[in-house]
Amino acid sequence: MSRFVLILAALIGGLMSVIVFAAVTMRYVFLSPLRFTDELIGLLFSAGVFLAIPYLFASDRNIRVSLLTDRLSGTAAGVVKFVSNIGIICFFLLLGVLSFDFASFSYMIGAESDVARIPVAPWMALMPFSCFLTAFIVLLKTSFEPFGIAVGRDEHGASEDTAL
Amino acid sequence: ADTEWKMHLVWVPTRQEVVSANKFVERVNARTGDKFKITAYTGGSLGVKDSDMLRILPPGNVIQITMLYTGYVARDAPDLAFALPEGVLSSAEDVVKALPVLDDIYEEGFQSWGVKYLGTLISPDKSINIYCKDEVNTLEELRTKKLRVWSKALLDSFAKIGVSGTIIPQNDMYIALQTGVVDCATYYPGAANTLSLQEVAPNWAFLSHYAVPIPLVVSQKAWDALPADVQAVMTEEADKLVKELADNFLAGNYEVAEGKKFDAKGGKQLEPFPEADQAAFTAAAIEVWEENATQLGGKLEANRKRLADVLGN
Amino acid sequence: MIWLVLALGVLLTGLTGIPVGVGLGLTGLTILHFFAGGSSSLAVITIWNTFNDFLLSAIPMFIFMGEILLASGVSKKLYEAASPLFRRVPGGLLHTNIAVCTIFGAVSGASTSTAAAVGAVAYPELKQRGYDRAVVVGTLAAGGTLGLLIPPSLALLIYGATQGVSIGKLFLAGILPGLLLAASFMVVILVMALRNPEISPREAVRTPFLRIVTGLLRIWPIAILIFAVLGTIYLGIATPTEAASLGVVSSIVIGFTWGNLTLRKLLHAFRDATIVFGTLGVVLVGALILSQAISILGVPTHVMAGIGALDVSPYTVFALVVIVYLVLGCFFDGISLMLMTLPVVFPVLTGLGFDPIWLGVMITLMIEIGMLTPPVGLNLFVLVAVTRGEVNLGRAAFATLPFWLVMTGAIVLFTLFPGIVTILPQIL
Ligand code: NA
Ligand code: NA
Repeated sequence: MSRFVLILAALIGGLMSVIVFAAVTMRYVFLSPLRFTDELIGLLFSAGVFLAIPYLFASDRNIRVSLLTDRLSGTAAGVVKFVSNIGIICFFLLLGVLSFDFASFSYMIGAESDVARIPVAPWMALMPFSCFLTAFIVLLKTSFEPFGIAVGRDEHGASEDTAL
Repeated sequence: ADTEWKMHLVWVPTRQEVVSANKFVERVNARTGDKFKITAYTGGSLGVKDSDMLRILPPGNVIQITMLYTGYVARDAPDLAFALPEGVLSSAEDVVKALPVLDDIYEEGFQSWGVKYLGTLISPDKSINIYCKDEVNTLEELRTKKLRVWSKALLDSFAKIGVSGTIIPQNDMYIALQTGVVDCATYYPGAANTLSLQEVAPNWAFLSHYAVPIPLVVSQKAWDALPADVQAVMTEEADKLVKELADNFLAGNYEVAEGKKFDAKGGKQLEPFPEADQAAFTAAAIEVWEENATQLGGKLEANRKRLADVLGN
Repeated sequence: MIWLVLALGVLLTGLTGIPVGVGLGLTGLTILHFFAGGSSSLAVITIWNTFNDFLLSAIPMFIFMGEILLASGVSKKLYEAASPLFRRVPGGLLHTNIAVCTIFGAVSGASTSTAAAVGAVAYPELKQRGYDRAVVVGTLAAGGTLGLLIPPSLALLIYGATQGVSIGKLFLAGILPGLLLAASFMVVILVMALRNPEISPREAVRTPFLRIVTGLLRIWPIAILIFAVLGTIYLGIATPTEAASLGVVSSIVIGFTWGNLTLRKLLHAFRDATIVFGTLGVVLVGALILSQAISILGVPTHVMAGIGALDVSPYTVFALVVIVYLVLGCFFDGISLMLMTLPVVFPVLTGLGFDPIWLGVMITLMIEIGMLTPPVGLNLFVLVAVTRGEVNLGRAAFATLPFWLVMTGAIVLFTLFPGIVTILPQIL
């Protein structure tokens, strides 16, 4: 699931580059600027970032300060890991609820982007979607991994990409 | 003080909007003594954006009062944002004619958000000028240039008279002019000075009349919690300031002084655009206003008709 | 009390190994809920606003560009041609990081996109050549800050536009300090390499001069890429964000024609880049919530106003302002810190007789330093993400320490000799 969402995020990123490129070309080659690039790019950017988040947590790729945790082992490491996972779940549940309110309010008032008048609520809704999905993934990991069941690991291993 | 309010202002202290707000704050604070105190945070230093004000202000828990240029809330409240678009005024006096109707529109519009409207503070800027690298003061010349505009209404209006515009935010404008992304920019005199526009686009000419009506608004919830005498002081001071600023706007001394300051630093004022060009622009802006109001629906069309009646177009 | 929550939050983030973004975010939510009238809904608003800012979108695109150049073998060719040039210099290719950042800084106005653009290309190559990973990150993080001082500069632009100071003069004033810093960074690299030769491997074989020249000539397609990114900004054809997209497109074209890019590699490059900027996104989410929590309380404004009200000598006031900037710089990203503090700092310091142009450069320098200090240091975040966590935040911060010291020293130097800053705008 999170891999699929990640691919979606990557596609969105590619789309961003194409749209901005098209905008520059339109302006300088055909002298007719695309008028709504900025807004669309902003929406795509936030969509791309949020859709990438579940995968990052499923595959444990995050910026952490590991000075202390690197030196722990066994039970101590397990406890710290558990505390950290509870923190992650709480955070994404909270953010999920807050962003759900934000998106549903926007839907209720029919909010649209300033210039292009693109409805913004569906884009905003990606925030709670990703937050809840992330919380769910981390919850699964916290419940099952202590018993040796791998959840959502990247099957190819982390260094597959750089080996290309 | 017994009650303390935070006022959010997006403008930096050098701007006239802050000068107006500070007058209000000082007068209210002086008259309410220990009972009540407003602290103004300028330059957006509270870290919030005007575009979110209709979501942040109503609960009254963090920010209780602000001056809100309605163009910023286009996402949430198009009927407030597009009530009186740029370029539709045929004279400076027009805006004073429109004020009573605008008061109605704003009061009703803000009320539905849980926001109380205290009055409209008009900034002393009263013209849209065209600032260019070259000497440009006719539409014919402007059609050969790339023009920076600040809103979609302006973009559409210029498109109607054959001028190709690009929306560029204020912060990117200097570089855009310097590197030639655009050749000209729509702007107004006071702000042109702050932005050192004379360094990149020294030649300027008047194109159209303009007014920036900025509503002074407070959280209804926070307002209801105030003692009646404090409410009375705020209402009185708001009314007083609204009148002062309207008079100041009509006098127009501020713009003349700012224009002179700009020229002293290396700018050059050209003859205004020909009357026919000015009229063509205004007509285009009015046409765009009609189209948008019909298209966006809601209360916009009814409100536009009311304003068009008093403006006589 | 807020400071206690802040310190506790940062401490727990460090001790539990919780993702930095989550730790900062939880701290921010706590402050918003308990100290700012239960306004935790501000958290989402501020994230939405920042992520919808057109400016930020240059960063993922530069990361895309770097990944594509890497996957297609183009960046490998580039570094193979360039490395013989630095054979004899202690520090070797580390110097190119600073040099390229300086050149990039001369066309780009932002610090983070400079670090992202140069870092995404340079890090994998230098790592492969056996350079010390943390040191590579340190040089890139420091080099990135040059983007903000060397004109054009977003920070100087906003300073000028909000305070009514000549932007042209500010840009001129940034040149000498920027170049001086770049030179000092190179000296730092030199000293570090002399003291610890292991950080930069020496090339074993000596390449004849003629071979170096022909090697450099063979990489001419790179010129197309350089024009696409730097040339178009310089000539006013594109804004930096647009130039980033031109960079992506031309690196794809060059990768297919001149490198060995395949469709499969391209897709992988896009996926990897998405992971990188997603990692960055998580940290940004947390950092944004935390800085919103501190700013809604008016903390920066109050602290600066408090300093302004003290009855002490002008230089004491300035020194206090510097210290506060360095501390606040730990929690805010540069531009928002500038916007928050300028309304108070500018009138106070210019009122004490400090030159507005000089002050603009100094404040830019101070917020640049903040880009390098954890827990919220945007350049560090960008580079840790680019390394995919191979260099963690703690090591990255430690590796930038020498550069941090040089920049802090620069503040003292420019205060003692303000002429370094003000001479160019005066004579030109
Ligand atoms: Na720069
Ligand atoms: Na920092």
